[in-house]
Amino acid sequence: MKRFLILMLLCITVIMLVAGCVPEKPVKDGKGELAVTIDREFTTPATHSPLEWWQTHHPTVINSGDIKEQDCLYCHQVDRSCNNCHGYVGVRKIK
Amino acid sequence: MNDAAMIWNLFAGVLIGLAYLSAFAFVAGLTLRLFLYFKTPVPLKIVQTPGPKNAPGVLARMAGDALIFPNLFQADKALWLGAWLFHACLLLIFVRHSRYFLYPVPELVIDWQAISIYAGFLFPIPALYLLWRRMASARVLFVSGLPDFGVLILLTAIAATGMLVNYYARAYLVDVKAFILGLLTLTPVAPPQHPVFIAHFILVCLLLIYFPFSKLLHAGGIFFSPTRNQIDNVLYPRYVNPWNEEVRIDQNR
Repeated sequence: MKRFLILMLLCITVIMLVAGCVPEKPVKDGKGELAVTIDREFTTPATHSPLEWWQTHHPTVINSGDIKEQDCLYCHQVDRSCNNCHGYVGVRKIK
Repeated sequence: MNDAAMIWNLFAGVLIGLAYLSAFAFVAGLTLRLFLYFKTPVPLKIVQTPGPKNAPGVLARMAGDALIFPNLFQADKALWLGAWLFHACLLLIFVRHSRYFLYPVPELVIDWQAISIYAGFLFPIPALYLLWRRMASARVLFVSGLPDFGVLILLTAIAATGMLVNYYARAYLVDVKAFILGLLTLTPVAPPQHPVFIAHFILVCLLLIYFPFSKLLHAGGIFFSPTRNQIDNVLYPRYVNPWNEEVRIDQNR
């Protein structure tokens, strides 16, 4: 029983340590190190509306060839509004 | 808070509870079952010939058994192909899913994404073959029970909902990862409001609960199989019966 309790305490300590290393999820204009920010000078194109749909389906649109990956980079800065999300979910980063 | 939001919050709470219940059942069940395997006495050497003569030999044999199933290859080539593809796809799918559990995601996992996608497409083929085989042969059908079909159907349903989430009814990956990381770090957040993802997640939870109590435990049990993990050195050491009476030998006679 004593061993079990020590093991449980150890597991909880490890989880707490890991939890401290996990950043807040990337959110547009959100807080935290992964927050997605886009310069104010750019207006949101009609294709990005509604935002929830676009966030989910932009890979499909790019893979279909309707928009090229390079087209995104007219407004999006790779580090602040592409690769923070891509790195978070573990998909190929934009170069 | 309106009724719909309240019902959703309640459902999210149930889903989070199910996730923790299934994780507990999986870890505790697996640990208990493997501990019982470990503590089971194996008093006799029952190595399957040709047996390895040393520990590295056992390691090589176990690695071979776990990775390429040589015995099955000798017994049934078609079944071997189906089973090997099935397990290889499962491994690749697991590697692909590890991106939801890890932060930062290792480069190796990102590089493997492209290959793992094809494993997802391929997986239903060996799964359906194994299911068909159980029904097509009278001899196999006779020794098949409900759990044999149930597990294959459950895995196929998980794969089908997974493919739907990935390609046809996409879920927002950031929300999915935030949900999984929240569960792992004991700071749960609401799951994405995506019916197919929720179906996929519930099916995986059911699999986790069922795993330690099913034939799926061959994943861990194979390493405790005495015919495969013993060293064939039965004739090398001298065995002395520990409860033999000590015999005095007079050297001067």
